[in-house]
Amino acid sequence: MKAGGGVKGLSRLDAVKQALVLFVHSKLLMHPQHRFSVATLSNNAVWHQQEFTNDMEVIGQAVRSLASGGAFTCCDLSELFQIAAAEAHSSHALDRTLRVVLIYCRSSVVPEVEVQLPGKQRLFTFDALYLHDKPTRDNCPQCVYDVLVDALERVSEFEGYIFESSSGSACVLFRHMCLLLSHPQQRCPQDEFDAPKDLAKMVAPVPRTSSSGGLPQLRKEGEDDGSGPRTF
Amino acid sequence: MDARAVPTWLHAQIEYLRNNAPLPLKVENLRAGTRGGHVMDRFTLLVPCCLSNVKWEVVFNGLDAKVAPDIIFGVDDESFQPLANSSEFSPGSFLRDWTVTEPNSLLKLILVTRGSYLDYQRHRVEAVNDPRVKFEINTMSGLQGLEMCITTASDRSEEVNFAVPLVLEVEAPHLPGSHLPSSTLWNDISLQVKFPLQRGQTSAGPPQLKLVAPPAMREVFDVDDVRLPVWPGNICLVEYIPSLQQTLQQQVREARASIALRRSFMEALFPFFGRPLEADATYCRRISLLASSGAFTFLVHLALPIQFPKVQPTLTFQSSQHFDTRGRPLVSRTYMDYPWSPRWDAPQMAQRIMDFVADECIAFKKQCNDLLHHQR
Repeated sequence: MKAGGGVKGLSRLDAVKQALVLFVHSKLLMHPQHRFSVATLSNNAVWHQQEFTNDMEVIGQAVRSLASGGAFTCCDLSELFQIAAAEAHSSHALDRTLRVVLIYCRSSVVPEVEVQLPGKQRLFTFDALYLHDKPTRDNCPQCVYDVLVDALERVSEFEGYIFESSSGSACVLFRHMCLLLSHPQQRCPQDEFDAPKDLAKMVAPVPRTSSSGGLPQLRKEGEDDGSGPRTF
Repeated sequence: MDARAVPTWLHAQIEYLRNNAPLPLKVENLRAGTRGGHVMDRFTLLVPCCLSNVKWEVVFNGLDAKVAPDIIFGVDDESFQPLANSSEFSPGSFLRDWTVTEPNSLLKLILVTRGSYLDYQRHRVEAVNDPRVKFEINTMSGLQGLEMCITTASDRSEEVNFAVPLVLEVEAPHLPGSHLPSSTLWNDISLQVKFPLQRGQTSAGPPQLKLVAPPAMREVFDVDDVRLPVWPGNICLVEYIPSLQQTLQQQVREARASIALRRSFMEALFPFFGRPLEADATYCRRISLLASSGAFTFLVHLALPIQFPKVQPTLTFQSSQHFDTRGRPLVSRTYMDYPWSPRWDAPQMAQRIMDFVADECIAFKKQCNDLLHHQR
């Protein structure tokens, strides 16, 4: 990935790992009781660090040990959603809210999601971060993006956010990761999300719109980060 | 593979107790009766009495749901004999008619045993042959929710304890956007009073006084910060409590007002910083913002003290782009000394904070770059 700030020449996998650590650290600074786990995607979802924890050492170790599993020609997200739905029940019993943050990096593999998802309930918030190559004749990032947007709309309990990038910039990745820090219970629609504001350009404050109303109370989050292995 | 399990019927009893107890009963150390045993059928129960906890061991027979539990009391309570009383609502009658068909049996047994325990402690206090203690008891008999007990201090001396729930007038309306049942929170403050005994007699001076509140209250009000009114000479508790209640009421009002002020300050930040990433909307103690200055994207974490706005929020910057050798994002020192006045209105406070952040983030970015340069 391209250098930016203090990060020089990171591979995409290393940049994603750094982004995950950034996410966890930031969340724990906001509230020490957020908890995190990690799953990976091959053809379908597999736990990598199943037990939700707020222990930075454990999560750091789990993230560091992430590695590419090779190239996969299909990806079924339905099982990921089933695993998440099961976890969501435990979360609700503990008065917590579950989030799934999917980092998807395949430019030629359109994920599959069952048309009829089991259970009508929306049990967890689903966000996606899509890192892809520039569109060519041989790949289909636009199709992938459309499927992810559709999944968000069908599955997510609160407003799901999706970001995509083909720039290869680590700083852009980190910035998107920071936007995903937004607590689902306090979100506005993605196209109304107006942070960060560039303070270097601020002269007068923007008048309040109706979307920036009072904030609802929070339940603490449990995050399940699904990372697809990359094809380089 | 660890095959230890709690019998289903016992699990139901414990869960019912955990979810429905009218007081904070705590179940700990759920374990098997033998080393390496697989049936987890005994536990320690922490029972609030006089604003501290007594520890009872509750022992079931995991293999036979029809057998009533045993309760083992603390070493200092050998003279507590709850089975001596065999009347209708005594612990004895609950044990005789023990059944697990209803999940509330354990909770009912514990509550009635606790009632007997409080009576036993009351008799111990009434037996203290000291005129002051007797006078306190006689004047306090009308106080709702009064509890008393005798405790043994670490040096084996005895203390007479009284616990008095303080009733405060909570007149303000329900806070908007808050699920807090305001009356429950503010009426959970109690006064703990200790009279140390030397050779069975109290000393002449004032007793030891302490305010006790549930831990959750610390987010909005710290009872340890309250300066208790002076105990004037030869008065008794019943005469002291009204002036304490008045002091407390005033401070509680200020604490409630502070929540509202913190909330409007947090909302005043939105036009300057955009939507926050995460904010504590219950007690309004924390808010985290995403900001940028040119290409530099960073977070600002604010912590709002209980004494806001007299005491200003603390600010911490966090980079999204700079990481230390262990991969952690770089974080600034905590700023507590930026320009501030409690007399500004909320939009002014927000404007000044934005000005400060816009200036200081340049210095923070430089610090981060310098640090990284040294790391290489």
